[in-house]
Amino acid sequence: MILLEINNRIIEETLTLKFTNALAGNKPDVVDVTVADFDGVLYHVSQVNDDRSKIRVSISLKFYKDLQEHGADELIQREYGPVLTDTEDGYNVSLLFDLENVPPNWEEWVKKAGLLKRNCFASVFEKYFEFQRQGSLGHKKAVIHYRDDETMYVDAQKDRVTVVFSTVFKDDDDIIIGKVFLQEFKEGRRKFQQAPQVLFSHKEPPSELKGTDAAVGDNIGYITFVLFPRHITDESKDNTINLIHTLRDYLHYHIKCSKAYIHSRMRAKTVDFLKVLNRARPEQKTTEKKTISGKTFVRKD
Amino acid sequence: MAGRLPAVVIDNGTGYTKMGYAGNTEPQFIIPSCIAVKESASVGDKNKRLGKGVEDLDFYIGDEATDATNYAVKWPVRHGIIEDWDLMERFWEQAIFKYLRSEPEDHYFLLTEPPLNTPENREYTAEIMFETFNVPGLYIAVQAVLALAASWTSRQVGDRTLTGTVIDSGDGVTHVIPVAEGYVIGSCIKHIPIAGRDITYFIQQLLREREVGIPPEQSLETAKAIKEKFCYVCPDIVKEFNKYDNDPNKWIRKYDSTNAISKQPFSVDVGYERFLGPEIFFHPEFSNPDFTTPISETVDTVIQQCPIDTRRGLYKNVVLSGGSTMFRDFGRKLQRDLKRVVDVRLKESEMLSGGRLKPKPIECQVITHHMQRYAVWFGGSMLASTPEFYQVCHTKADYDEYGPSICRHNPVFGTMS
Repeated sequence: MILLEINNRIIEETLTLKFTNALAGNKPDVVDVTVADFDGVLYHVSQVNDDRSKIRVSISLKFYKDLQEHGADELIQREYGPVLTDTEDGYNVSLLFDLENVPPNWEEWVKKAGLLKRNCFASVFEKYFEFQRQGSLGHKKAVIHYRDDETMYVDAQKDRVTVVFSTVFKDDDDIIIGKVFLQEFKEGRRKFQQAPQVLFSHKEPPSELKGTDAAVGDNIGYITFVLFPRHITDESKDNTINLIHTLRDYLHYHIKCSKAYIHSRMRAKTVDFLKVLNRARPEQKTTEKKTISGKTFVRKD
Repeated sequence: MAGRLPAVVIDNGTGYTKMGYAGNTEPQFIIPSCIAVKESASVGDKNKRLGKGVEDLDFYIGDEATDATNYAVKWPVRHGIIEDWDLMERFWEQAIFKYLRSEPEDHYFLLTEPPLNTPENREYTAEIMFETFNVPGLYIAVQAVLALAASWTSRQVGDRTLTGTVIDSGDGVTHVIPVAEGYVIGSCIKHIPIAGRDITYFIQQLLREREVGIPPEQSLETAKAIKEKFCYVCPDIVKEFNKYDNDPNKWIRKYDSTNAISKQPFSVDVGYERFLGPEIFFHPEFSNPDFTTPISETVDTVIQQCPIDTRRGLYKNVVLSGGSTMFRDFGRKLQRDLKRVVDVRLKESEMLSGGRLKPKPIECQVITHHMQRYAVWFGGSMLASTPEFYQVCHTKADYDEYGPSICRHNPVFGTMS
């Protein structure tokens, strides 16, 4: 697995089970599942007011307020209009599915529910992509505090959209592996001319973020993506969003995979060394040693 | 951050891995603990695992592994103990990122280990979790202890103890594990070579002799479905046979299925195997001529081997865990048989003393509860959703300070008893 999946399997599987159960005519069971997702996202699948045939899927994002400023509500309304319901306490968006009249295209809805987090994120990108296309400049940068200590900035310029992620490395080794990994992005661009430009800066925020509250620190890195108009056409827009919104997790996933790979190399090497050690025999101590002239001597330790 | 996001609970069994988020009653995923990797088979390849480029990411786990073609399927866990750490590290990698979709840096983790796990293995686990995944906190719990904790749901708060005998019966093997005050008495653990798979085989054999309509390639599947759907434990076989003979319509069930290839429906009469299947726990000689000790006797022997001051507690709290203990009335029959063995012994000692000594009767109790199938996982989920869990976890700060040896110590015993 190179790319992370964008849909949430747990949500999909839970709902699929519910729907197939309902279609088979079985009585619905109690459901109360709380699961997490990347970036501190929390899902809650439950029934409304003890009515087992009504399944409510709620999502909570800590940074939903930031997203709302950029039209998340409208996008959610557009995507999930018919199934939206009163928002559950402590959550940001709630969907409601009725098991008593299962929609004929329930499989699509299950897929969509699994993409809830992705669609929440999509609003901010879509808005700025639109700005760029219309050439309306001079908007404020979008600032999304998508984690407690990490931030994403989106900005539209005349000929491009820049997306900057700040990310915090919890471990010193991570910084190094992360740097090498992002270096590969630059290398990769040489081979693929159409790829967006990627810049990585360690400790200091890039020049685009001058004058913002962007954090500075030893364990902070900034990744800048420069998206050109060809990345944000109607056809490729969705793919771009899919990829870019998981970028932070993608990076950290690969740092972990690299470590796992290094560890397996280390284990392989240890096995090799052990083989050498096992072959080694201790030297015989009692052999007589002679000098060049043929005399023997006893060493007194 | 730990307060908001639920902890991740992963129970790596030999056959299946149960994983999910703490606070839920069921694991979110139950997948086979296998991993499908590409291996170069060329001669002279010193290390066939270390591929080039991104080949180390080319693998599948769980059901996807069994479906993958051109891959070698490996099982990194053997007899409950992790044997291949390379593969296990990658297994966890995908379990966390693809299935659970959690950023391991944000979640506390609870992993499980079998009762006789070596301290080195525990350290390896800690190394992988802290070094590779940067988890903020880790707790490694013993499966049997979690199964005990899972049985707390069916009891009053005052009765919650970490002393008891755990009967853990999965697909491959059944263990009887005595636990005193949270400590597993390792020297007294016994294994019984009868578990879910043997019941399935036994039923399959009974069906083969009688039913002709079952397509051979679906015979195992059918037996398994019958086992899960219809089987129960009866108090007395002879009476049960009579019941079936007198009123077959009431007792004999029908199992309907379709042939996977010809799509023709077929049906099977389910008769005596309904109670004979699980009966092999109590009369192993039915299916295995080499092993004839009934489960109740094994439990008794195990408890008799334990230190004398723990025995009453162990008899009083026999906890079932694992899918093969799910048969109706399994607990009731076990309790009755166990009680019988114990009472006979008490009577004997009374006779030997010539009636002068009147022993205090021993209370035998077998606990059944709803969570039996995933008892270990559920116990873990329960434990990891309490605030105390975060206090007893080994934290990354501790690890960085002292190294993996911190996992040799289990802080639970200091705080929970």
